[in-house]
Amino acid sequence: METLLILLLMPLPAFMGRVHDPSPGIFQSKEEARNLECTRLSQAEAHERFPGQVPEPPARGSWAVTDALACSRRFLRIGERPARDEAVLSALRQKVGDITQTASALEAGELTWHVDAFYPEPAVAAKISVAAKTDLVERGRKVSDRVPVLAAGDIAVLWKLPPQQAYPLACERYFAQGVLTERDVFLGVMIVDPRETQLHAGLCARGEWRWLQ
Amino acid sequence: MLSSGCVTVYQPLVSLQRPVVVDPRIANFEGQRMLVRCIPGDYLEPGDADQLCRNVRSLFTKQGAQVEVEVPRAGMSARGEQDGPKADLIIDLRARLVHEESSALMGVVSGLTLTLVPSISEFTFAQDVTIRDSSGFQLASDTLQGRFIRYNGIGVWAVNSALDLLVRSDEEELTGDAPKKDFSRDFHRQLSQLAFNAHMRSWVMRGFEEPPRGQESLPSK
Amino acid sequence: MRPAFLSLILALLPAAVVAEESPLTDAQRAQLETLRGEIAAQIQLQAYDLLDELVFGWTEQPVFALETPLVLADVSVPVGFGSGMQALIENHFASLIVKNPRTRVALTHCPQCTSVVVHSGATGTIVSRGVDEPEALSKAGTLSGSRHAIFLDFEIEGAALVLRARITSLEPALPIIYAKTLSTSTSSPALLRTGDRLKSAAEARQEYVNALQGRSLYQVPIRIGVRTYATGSGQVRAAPMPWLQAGVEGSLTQARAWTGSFLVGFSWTPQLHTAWMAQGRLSRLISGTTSSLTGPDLYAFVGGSVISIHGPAALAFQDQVPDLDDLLALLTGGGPDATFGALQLGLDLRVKNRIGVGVYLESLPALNNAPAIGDYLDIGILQFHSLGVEVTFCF
Repeated sequence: METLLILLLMPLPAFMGRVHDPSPGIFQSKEEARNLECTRLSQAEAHERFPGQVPEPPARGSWAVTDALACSRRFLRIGERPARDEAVLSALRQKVGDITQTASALEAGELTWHVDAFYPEPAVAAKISVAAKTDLVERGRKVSDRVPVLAAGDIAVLWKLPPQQAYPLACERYFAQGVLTERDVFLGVMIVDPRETQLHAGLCARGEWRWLQ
Repeated sequence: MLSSGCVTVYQPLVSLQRPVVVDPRIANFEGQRMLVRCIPGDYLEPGDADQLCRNVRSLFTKQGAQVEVEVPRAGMSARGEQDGPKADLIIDLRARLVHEESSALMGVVSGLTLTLVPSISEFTFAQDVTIRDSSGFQLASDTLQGRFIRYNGIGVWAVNSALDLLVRSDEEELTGDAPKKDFSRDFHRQLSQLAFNAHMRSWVMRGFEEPPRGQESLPSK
Repeated sequence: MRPAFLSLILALLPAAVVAEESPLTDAQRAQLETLRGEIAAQIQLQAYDLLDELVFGWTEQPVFALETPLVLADVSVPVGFGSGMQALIENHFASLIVKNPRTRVALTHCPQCTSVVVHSGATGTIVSRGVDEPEALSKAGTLSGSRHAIFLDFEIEGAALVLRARITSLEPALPIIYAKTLSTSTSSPALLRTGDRLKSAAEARQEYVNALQGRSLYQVPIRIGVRTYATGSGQVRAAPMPWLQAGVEGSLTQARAWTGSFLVGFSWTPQLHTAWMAQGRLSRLISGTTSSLTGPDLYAFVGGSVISIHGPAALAFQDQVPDLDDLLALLTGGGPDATFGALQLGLDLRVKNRIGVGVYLESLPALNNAPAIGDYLDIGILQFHSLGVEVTFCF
């Protein structure tokens, strides 16, 4: 009996290590595990980021490949915000960064940039717009906080058109009405279909609309 | 006795648990032509690649697409240049092993204790998904990473079975087919969403025009 | 194993794609509200952290050449959150600016800037916030001397909180003159920075690393313990022995996952025994991969010792019943003595590597047949004759 007891206690160190395992199990539900964002890091990287939790790799190296699984809990659980909003906001920096990188590469001159976002949820649209403006300024572009606005009559007409017609027409109207000049460029960020979780973008420069992605 | 009592736990790591909007049960890709290529590698055997392609074909066929599959062998495509019309979306699937861990000592102790002490093995895989249009332009790409931990032990199996029966809700069950179903659901949903995003991007970049239909040669790759 | 495993995984059930999650029940909503309250507290601290970093950046590289009045035009909280956090962030930001004049920023009060303004002109009537139509405010003379407005936007992006700050010049073109993005995913954890002694993330991290490395690899443990011995078949019984030990303990890395120690010990009971011990021990951390700065650590150890006992109590540690010669030696002052080896297995709970409590079982292989010594645990290959408890102080 004692031998069995010793054998059962022998793997205790291995089990104690499993206490910190973020996978679902007896003490952690699947839902909690799904609200973690985990990445695999090498031991050196993990020690750099978490010196108090991960020991330094041995100076003489090790025969075993050792890495760490670094998990951080999402601030908002999945399901708290609508799925599309959450998908867009969770990767907002990366999505907007791709757009502004492409846009500023295409229009590299001394122009004043204007940004607006077209998204069903106004609060999310504001976040997208702010993210794009901030990113453009950080890229060295001259950005205006003023959003070009068309007359109510124009908006009423554009509202009914499909996106492939509405945005190019709006671009023409901006220049025709003098809202934008040759020294201005307008970056529009939008979604086209309510089922998608990516952002599209287009540039309005010199009266012409061009889709970026 | 020694091989019974396995509990496999699935944990999504990167991208697999992202929120999804598209509903894989409706026809999201009506009229779309897709080519799904499951590329074998060190981690994905050709037989497994065949199985993967069949499952993915079924996924997109249910959503209204016309799907062809291809499992390149020895780096060579099986499709000839004149085979069929162009695909609107070309989906490449590659799998790789990111991390693997198992303890021989735990295996020995497990044997000595007749699996009362479980042996534990785990691996982390990554599924690389790349979606291109017929001209080869990349429309979307992502890496889906997940982790599987396998506990081989009658003790662990008994405790988790009891918990599944008495305590956990259906969605929280760990034993039986639960890991397969969970991974299947996540993988299908992410793949559907990625393909839909790629489809929309392709449509926008074509100026909202539908792709030309009819007999045309395949893109050279 | 691996391909077979993959086949199992790939036996996907194409039809088993569940629908979107069903709407939340009232109970789930209530639970979410409670969780949201807890999360709001965490987000508030991280938001403060990001503001500290933003203002610290201004102390190093001010935005303006001279002290400049600035209006706090807007604080946006993450989508899905209420406005309660706004006031807290505004207060913290104002406090930082007041305590750090090197930023060359002076917050000014402009209620019209953040209010809705209706402005009628030749082109029509415009309804907007004041900061969006600075010419209207200027005409009304209500800009209060401030020519710049700052906007702070917080958003939750997965597991990261992101601050986007921009400063806009209040002129008709509304040019953005400064913008900065800060994220908790790329910054180091705060070291409880105070508002009047801000430090950069790099400095904070260096302090943290110094705190870890301040723990020396070697230390001197002082140990006080008691050993008890199981009763044997004989009539003579070994009495519990108190011990005082001191030595040196070391580890190879700051993680302190493995430690080794060597101690010498002394035990004395009047008229009963005087004993010496030399002990070596190897410990392994089982409550994690690295010792904790804040929580207790549990070690499992194995050790060996050589114990030498002099005096009447040594009689109990002999493998034969005491005879007349032994008693004669005792009477003539020669004194019995016993020297034996011991093997230990035990657990040691350490708190911040300063104080520890341990319990162990000890095997005395040479005394398996000693009539005065029984065993507490017999696992066949090994018998444990002694049970010990100890308290360790490390210096």
